Amino acid sequence: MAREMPRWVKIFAIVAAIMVTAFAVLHAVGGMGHLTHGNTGVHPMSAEHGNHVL
Amino acid sequence: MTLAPELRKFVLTVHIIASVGWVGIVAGFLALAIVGLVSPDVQIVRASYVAMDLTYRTVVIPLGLASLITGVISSFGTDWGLFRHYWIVVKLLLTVPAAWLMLVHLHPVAYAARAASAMTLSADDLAGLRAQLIVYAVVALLVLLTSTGLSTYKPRGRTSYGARKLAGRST
Repeated sequence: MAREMPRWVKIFAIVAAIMVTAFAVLHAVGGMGHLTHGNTGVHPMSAEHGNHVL
Repeated sequence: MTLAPELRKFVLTVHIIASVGWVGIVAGFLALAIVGLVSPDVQIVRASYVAMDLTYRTVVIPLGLASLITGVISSFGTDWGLFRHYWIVVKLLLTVPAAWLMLVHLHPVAYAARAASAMTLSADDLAGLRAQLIVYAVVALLVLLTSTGLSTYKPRGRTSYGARKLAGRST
């Protein structure tokens, strides 16, 4: 006996598919890349930052 | 397999505590991620990423895994089952990827904390990674809030498997 899938499950599936696709596209184009293809350049800590002796 | 009532209540209690705690700590993580990205104060930025790394390893991951494990045990140990109702299947489909993403992002969070500890992060430094931590925290929070809503409202709908089990029991 085939059962009708509830409408809220179909809506969830569509929203989930859109979100997964959006994440996949963002990763593919490097918009959300980290470490391997993101901006990992950082400045060395300068003497005047966080090293004060009052 | 059905759990004894005392054990079932214990597992359910742990599941609720872990799940609600998971939502709370992810909200805190999001707050720290936003502050870490937008604050002009170097010390606050540094403290944010160090706190994120610490809470991620010691609270977020244990609560996430505890929520997933106790949820599965609770489902299998009661008449609800794991695959009989759509709302439980959907919760599983939300929680398993969330837990996987959580484990995958252990390294980036640690990396941001190490960088913030060792160096002075300007607004542009690690900008992609820092923004990504915010996006993931927002998505995780939405997923967990949806999951909490499903647990509360328990929307109707049996899967085909659940319908067969019900029919098999009534005959």
